[in-house]
Amino acid sequence: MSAALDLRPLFPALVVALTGLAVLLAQAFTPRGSRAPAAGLSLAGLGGALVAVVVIASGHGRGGVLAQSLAADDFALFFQALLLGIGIVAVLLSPSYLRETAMDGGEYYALMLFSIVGMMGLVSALELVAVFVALEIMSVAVYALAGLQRGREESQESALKYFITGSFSSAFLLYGVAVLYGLTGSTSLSRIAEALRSGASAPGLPAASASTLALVGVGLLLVGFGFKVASVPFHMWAPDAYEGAPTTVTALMAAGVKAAAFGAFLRVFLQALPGLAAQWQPAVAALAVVTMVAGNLGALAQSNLKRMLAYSSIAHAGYLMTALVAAPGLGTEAVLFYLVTYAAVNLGGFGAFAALTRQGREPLSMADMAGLSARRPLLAAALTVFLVSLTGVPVSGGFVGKFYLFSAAVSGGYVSLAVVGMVMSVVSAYYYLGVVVAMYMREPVGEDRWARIGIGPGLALAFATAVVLVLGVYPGPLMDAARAAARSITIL
Amino acid sequence: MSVDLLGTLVVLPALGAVALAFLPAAAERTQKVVALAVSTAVFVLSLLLVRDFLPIPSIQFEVSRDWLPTLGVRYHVGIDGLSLWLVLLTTLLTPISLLASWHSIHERVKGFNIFMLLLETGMLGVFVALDLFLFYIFWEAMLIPMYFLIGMWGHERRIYAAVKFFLYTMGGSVLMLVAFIALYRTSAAHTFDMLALTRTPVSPSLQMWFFAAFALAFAIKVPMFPFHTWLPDAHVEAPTAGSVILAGVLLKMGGYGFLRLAIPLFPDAARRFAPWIGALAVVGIIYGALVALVQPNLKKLVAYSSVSHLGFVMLGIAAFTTTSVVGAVYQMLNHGISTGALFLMVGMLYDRRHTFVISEYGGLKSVVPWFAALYLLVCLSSLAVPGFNGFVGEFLIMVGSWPMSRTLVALASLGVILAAGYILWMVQRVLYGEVTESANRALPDLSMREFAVLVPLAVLALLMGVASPVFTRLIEPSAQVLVSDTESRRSGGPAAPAPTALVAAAPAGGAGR
Repeated sequence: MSAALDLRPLFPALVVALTGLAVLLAQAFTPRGSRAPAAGLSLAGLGGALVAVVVIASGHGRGGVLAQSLAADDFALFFQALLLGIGIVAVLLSPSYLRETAMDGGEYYALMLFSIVGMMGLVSALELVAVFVALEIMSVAVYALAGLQRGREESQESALKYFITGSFSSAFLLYGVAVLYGLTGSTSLSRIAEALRSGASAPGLPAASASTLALVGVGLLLVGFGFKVASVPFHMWAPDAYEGAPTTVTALMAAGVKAAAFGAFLRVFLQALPGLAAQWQPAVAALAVVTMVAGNLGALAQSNLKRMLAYSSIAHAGYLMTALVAAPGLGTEAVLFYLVTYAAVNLGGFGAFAALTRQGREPLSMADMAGLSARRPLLAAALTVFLVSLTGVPVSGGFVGKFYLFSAAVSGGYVSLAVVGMVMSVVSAYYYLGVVVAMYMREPVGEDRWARIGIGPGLALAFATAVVLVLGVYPGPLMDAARAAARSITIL
Repeated sequence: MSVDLLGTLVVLPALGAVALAFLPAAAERTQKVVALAVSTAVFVLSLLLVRDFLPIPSIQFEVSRDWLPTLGVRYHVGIDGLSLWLVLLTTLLTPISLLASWHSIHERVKGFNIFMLLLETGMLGVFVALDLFLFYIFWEAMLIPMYFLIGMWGHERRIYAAVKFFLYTMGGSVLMLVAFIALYRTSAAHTFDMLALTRTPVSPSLQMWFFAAFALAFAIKVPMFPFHTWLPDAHVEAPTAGSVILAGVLLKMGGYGFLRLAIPLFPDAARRFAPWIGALAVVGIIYGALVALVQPNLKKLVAYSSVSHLGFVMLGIAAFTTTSVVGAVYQMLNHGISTGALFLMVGMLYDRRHTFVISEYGGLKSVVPWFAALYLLVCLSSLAVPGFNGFVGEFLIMVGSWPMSRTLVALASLGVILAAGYILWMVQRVLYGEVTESANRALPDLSMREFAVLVPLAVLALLMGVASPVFTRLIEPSAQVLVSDTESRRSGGPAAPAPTALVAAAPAGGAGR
């Protein structure tokens, strides 16, 4: 044990956290009437953290810290890079949206940065208490973000609903952690796995009740994570929360919160509970099926675009869970790959709505999208790319990702999951294409009341489009990275 | 490794589309010229394939490289006698359709040209891909430009038709994708390479599932009888260029898929399903013809005649003898040329009168004699009069299918008679008699551009009728090896008495001579 505390693995998260504080301070010292350079500071901080991730990935300062509660392994670094990318895109989308909806900037950016700190911790946590703490850091920040449009009732409702169900699910998770701790005497993922494998459980407990207790613990954790990734039947909060939150926050929730939650989900279940896979895999498979079916059917019935994308994000949680079943190895890789394309299209989709927002009016209905291709040809083209990718049609990252997911499911012996997933993709084509129909095949209604696309959102959308298209044609490098990341949690 | 000619052909239109995207929206003429130039260049390049193609059964112009080793996917392209002419058909029909749309597309010209070029890339990709993953990418990606072409430049019910087209064809293909993955996982070869998979036996019980998934995708694309309902909508609502490409090339992918994938990969299941496919094909022949007979709408009539014509193709494929396979491939080309030309001419009528209703026409022979002459020629080719291309194809199919089932062949020949009925009756109502509508009296005859569009197809229709060996010579070796290889890999073996008498066929050589 080295005498000096080596904090290098934490460096990226620390940079983001300190930037958050700096943004708050800058706000405090900015004279009334003028704006603090919060967005610029945030971008600089997130960019710096991304550089730090790359430096660590190249071999400087990997490993665990703080008594092996957090680690910078390939898995964590993969996710941290993804989350920082998500953060950068979300920040790029924000200034024009905040201006048009008359929101305050200071605490918005700080909360965004703090939530990203939580997400980064969540994917690096090697220990259940750290998982819980990181989850709360992330969630509390996002609850506040969701309610930041104080003038809008929907925003208040969103924040309250999200907060109550979120706390509820955190309680489930915590209860699961407690049960597993009681059973194995540890909160460390690797020690739990060891204890479960060797059968060495709490003294004085008969084997039968020990295995029941283990199942209870796993079940509680599954419910907790089910809430966080918005899988059916723990999804009820998502449509309201997504709809009511400021759209840029929705983008962060759909992309970042979901990615981080899946990261922790994967790590906890694969590192701590591989011994119980025979018990939790069928449960996850069943959840995946109902999530895919209910998510897509729910989306079919929506007329509000934000709600539609909310249900679509539920459906995609279902697709992702099919590969979780097939894990380890191929399934984990597939989830990591898919999360990248999924994050890009959701940031892009919600980002497009945010970019069009003008004077508090957001495009929310199909009528708002009518004839958009004539008025905003580039934005319409980008949105089409996102929708095609969500449908899973080539040439897009979404297709390669779905192929990857269902390959994993089939090789894990779950052909039926792949069949359900593909059939549901056809259902999803109907509602995704509905937006394309409106944009390209209908005449515009009324006068053009949407915003011109500014530089920040333009850059963000162009970047997301490029990611989707490049991953559709040349996914090799990301697959290699995903494979390395997946190995780092399966071999440990 | 020399130049990847096939890859170049596939990529070139897409690059053209990208270039078009950077042209200013107002420069419509430049956009049209660029698109036409690119697609013509692709056609000229594709002639090199014919020049260097050898009449041997092996895959030619083959290129194989690693692409996604993680997923076992390779970039593998090549053509044989089955795909050569389909590639040519694609490269020919694309510039022709673009030229035909010169004056009929007024809105969003840039988008139209971009989607046409992207579509060409997708279609060529399907015909040259020898890796399942690559094949599927082109197969699905092609839906998007076609969807836009129908939905943005189509007629009144275009949105309904576009969405129906997309959902129907995507719905058919998704299970095929699952089958691809499962095939990869279960086969010992662990590859998506079509050639390697063909050499790897699959257990007969799994074959049934795989074949069913593949057949559904291809049957919808053909379309075979109960899966045809998307076709009349898509055809009628699509703009002329869309209908031409849809009928000329897209439908061929179904038949091609059976020949390239479904049958050689799953020979036992194919044999089990063959009588059903043959029967449905004949139902399609007769049903399509009967419905065409009663259509008051010209474009719909042509659309249903496609269902009938493609029934012949499927009959030939189901019979699976060398002769019938050559006939099926030949008939696919014929249908592309005759029906493509028919759609073009119906489109020209629409450009002049803005209606597809047959009773709105009549007596056109005296008003537009050149149009009438070519129209008659195209119709005769479509109804397979001896001396025209259609006759060769249908004859080969019927001769080749005789060993499978005489009843089916006899019933199919009924379709030939019905075709004469609906086509000649339609010709009579459009071209002959008195000019009933005053609006028709002053119709302009074919312009030079329209001649340029139609003459190549008319010449081909005649040439393929009188000089068929020029074409079949290159198809036959591949067809023969396909049939004999597949028969030899059937679990009963080639000598075993087959319950469906499928195997007894295959007269060696002779087809089209």
